[in-house]
Amino acid sequence: MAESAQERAGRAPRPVLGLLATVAVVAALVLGLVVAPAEAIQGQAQRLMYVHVPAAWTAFCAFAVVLGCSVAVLMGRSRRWDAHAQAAAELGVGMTALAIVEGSIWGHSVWGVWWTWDARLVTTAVLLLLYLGYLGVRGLPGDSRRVSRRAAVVGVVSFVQVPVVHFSVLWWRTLHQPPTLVSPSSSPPIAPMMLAALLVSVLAFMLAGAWFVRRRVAQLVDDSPAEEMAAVPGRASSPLIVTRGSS
Amino acid sequence: MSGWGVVVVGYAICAAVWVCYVLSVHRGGRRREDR
Repeated sequence: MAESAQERAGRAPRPVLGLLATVAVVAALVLGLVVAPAEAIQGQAQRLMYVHVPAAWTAFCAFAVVLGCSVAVLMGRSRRWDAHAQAAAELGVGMTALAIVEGSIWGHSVWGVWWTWDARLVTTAVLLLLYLGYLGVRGLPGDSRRVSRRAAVVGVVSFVQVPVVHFSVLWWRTLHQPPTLVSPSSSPPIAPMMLAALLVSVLAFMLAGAWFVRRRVAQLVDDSPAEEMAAVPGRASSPLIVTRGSS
Repeated sequence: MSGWGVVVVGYAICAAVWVCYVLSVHRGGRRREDR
């Protein structure tokens, strides 16, 4: 008996990704809170880097997924791509907000202020507002396909802000420090154990984010009427919407 | 608030956000099973 893509997508995902994420989270906690040394000037507060930076990176990756899936939706792909875009945007918005909050706590400890009108902070706040707007567009009433296409346009346009956020510390004179890892210099200005803790923390966030997106997509696809899973009328059928035995 | 206090608050907020994400899809899964 043929099994539809919706049925496959609606199945509970395998727990491998969740297990990997759990292991990575435990490793990140041990490395970040126990193994990595305290920073010479900032002291223990620097350990917030192990949640602040991974949250920002996860948000950037999530918004890249929104971009790719939005392009696919505009090219007439199925509701599944749209579901990926929505799930990734939900993840990205939360991670951006988390990066701002963690940065604010860290900034108060190091700079003495919760907020300053710094280029990195302002551009990140604009990024958050853009993707909140994206989710707002998704919530508009009306034909679901039309809403999806409108949201896809917002998803594509909003991504312009991501490189602006990343390069803001290089383009403008800011209070925020320059990029720790992805910087023009060849060697990262960070101790090896701190670098290890940061990379494992990034991995943990990415795996947990991927787990969430996968579960959320299954949820969204499962909640969609079957006809919404089909490609946009007049466009090429999505290769994802095939039944077992027909491919 | 300084030192470890800042770290504990920061990590607690982070944990709370992730717990919300996990619960949001977990409850969705339960709803699907109920149907």
